[in-house]
Amino acid sequence: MTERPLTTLVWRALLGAGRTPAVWMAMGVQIAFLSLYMLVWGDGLPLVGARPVLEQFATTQWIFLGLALPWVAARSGAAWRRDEVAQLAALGAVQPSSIVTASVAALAVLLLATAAVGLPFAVLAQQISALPLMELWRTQLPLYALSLCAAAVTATCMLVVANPLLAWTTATGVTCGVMIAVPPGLAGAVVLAALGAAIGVALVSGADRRFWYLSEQA
Amino acid sequence: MKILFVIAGLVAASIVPVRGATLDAAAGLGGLAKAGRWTPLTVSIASDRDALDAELVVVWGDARLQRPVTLSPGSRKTFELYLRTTDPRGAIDVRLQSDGRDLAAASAPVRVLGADDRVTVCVLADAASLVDSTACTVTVLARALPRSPRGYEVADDVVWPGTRAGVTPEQDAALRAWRSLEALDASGDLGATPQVSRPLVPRGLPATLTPVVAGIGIVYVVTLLAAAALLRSRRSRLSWIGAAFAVITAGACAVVGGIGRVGGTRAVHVHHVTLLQQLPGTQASVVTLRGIAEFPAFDYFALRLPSADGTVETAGARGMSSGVLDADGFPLVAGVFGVAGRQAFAGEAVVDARPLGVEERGGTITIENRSGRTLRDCRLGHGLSAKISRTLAPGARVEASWREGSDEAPGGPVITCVSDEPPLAFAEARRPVVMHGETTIAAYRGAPTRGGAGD
Repeated sequence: MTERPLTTLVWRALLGAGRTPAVWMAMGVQIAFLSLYMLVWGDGLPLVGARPVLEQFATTQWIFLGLALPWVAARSGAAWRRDEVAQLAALGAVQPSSIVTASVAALAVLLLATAAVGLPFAVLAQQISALPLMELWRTQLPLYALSLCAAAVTATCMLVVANPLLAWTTATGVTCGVMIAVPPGLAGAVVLAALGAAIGVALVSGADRRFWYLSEQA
Repeated sequence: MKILFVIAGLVAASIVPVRGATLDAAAGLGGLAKAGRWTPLTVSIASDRDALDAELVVVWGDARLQRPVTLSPGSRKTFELYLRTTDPRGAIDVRLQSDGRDLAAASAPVRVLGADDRVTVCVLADAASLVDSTACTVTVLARALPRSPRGYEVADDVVWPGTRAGVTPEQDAALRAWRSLEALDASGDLGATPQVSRPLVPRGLPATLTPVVAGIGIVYVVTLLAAAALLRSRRSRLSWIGAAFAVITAGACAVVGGIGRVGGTRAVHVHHVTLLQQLPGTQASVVTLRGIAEFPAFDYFALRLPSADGTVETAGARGMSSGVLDADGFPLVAGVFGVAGRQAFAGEAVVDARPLGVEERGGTITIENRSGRTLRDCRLGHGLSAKISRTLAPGARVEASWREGSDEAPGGPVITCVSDEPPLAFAEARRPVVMHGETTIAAYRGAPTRGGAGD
């Protein structure tokens, strides 16, 4: 597999995803939600011993994205199913591992873009909190790492679990479980990114053995 | 014994010369202080061979005061500061700091009295004057008298056993203003005056920023969805949409970063509730204000109250009351604040302003609006009657008389009016300041107040 067909596959997956409404809908809803959040609780949630606005905002983003990212990935069309991988491999004369790599890469780009949409509001939260710029990245990098992890997790679930609804539910459950398990801050970002990479590598390395043939149901 | 204590108090409690600067401090009115009352602190700083650019930090109980100090080589400056604390200690800690390092330090002792302890301050024209000290709680040299009415708060009476000389016009005006306040307090007028409370500012983003943030959100989402529509209609390539996404998101970040730095969002908004009490028999008024400042950007701000005889207190960490003065002695609300950051404060000042003229002849009181502005919601005091509209135009006069059967007992101010203009408007060096709120002006019966240094 040369680099060119892989790039073409990634491009194809991204183009398909870009033309589905799910990604843009998620971005639009996220912007509306975060705008509303800032308008209502822009000066902080009225809690006892409340943390800075930026940390409260990042927690809200974290929960929103934890639920939204698997849905975006599952609905984008870039998370190819097992039979789609087998058909593409046969028709395009490419190895299933390349197709799976392209799928995971395209999902990672899509989910990163979805997470990055909230950045302007995070900048506003950082300006409201009067915290240095470094704090902004300390709260945002775990979100970007989460999108990488969610991409790998959802791609795996969509390939392994036959029922699409069950695959999405499982992906959401696993993503939320990982979110709860990882430590907060930059350490969590490193764990999430490493976990996403490990899941992705494991999926790709086993793809040529598992996804050559159509499933029994096909 | 008392004279010895006074001299000890005046000459400063402790002098700790450190390389570069010398610091002397003397606290209290004749060394006396009471909890919750303003206490004068005289600090004298001298620089050695080098110029001095430092910060004076004063801590007393739960009160903290800061003031920048600059001195040319070999010079000396003396500052008169005022502090009050609910937790008075036996000494006021004074430090001169530069880059977080102590250049000099001093500790000014005070004798803390109980709230009910009566204090009679005897003023001596000079150190050679003799006085029968049995009637005096403390004796003070005329030249050491405070220059602000706040400096006399610890005293119940100030007497001049000998010749009344040696005070400056500033000290005399302060003494008259204090006596006028004391008279109002004793008559019950002061207690019957409605006091100021902190303005109510709703939670959430300030009203000025709400449309800005909503607008950014709407433009952002519409632009992104327009890019999506172009891609879905196959009129645009994916690479262009990707680039457009990056530009739109970066642009939104830049616009958010510009909030509070450009256009109409630059202004600092101060919400205030102010009371201006005209002191009878003087040319001065006491201004009391409670406010909340709303800051537009993540930046350093220094809001200046244009009154050298004033104070602004903010609540600090662990219940500390914090005051900051600028290099000229004007009180500040200063610090680094974020976008929509809010800082509550309380201020007091003595100003030379009398918006209402009050003249009493026989049973008639003539009230005139001398403010140059229209005053609204005017109300006559207890026992007075007149045909008065609620609004007083500039120059308008009202003649009020005591109602039949009224005992003319003091019942607060003879008139209160509301002005939309603040008597003291905050200013910031780099940004406009917009004041929101109202000022209640309270005028009392104009009986001349005796008791200045010349009386």
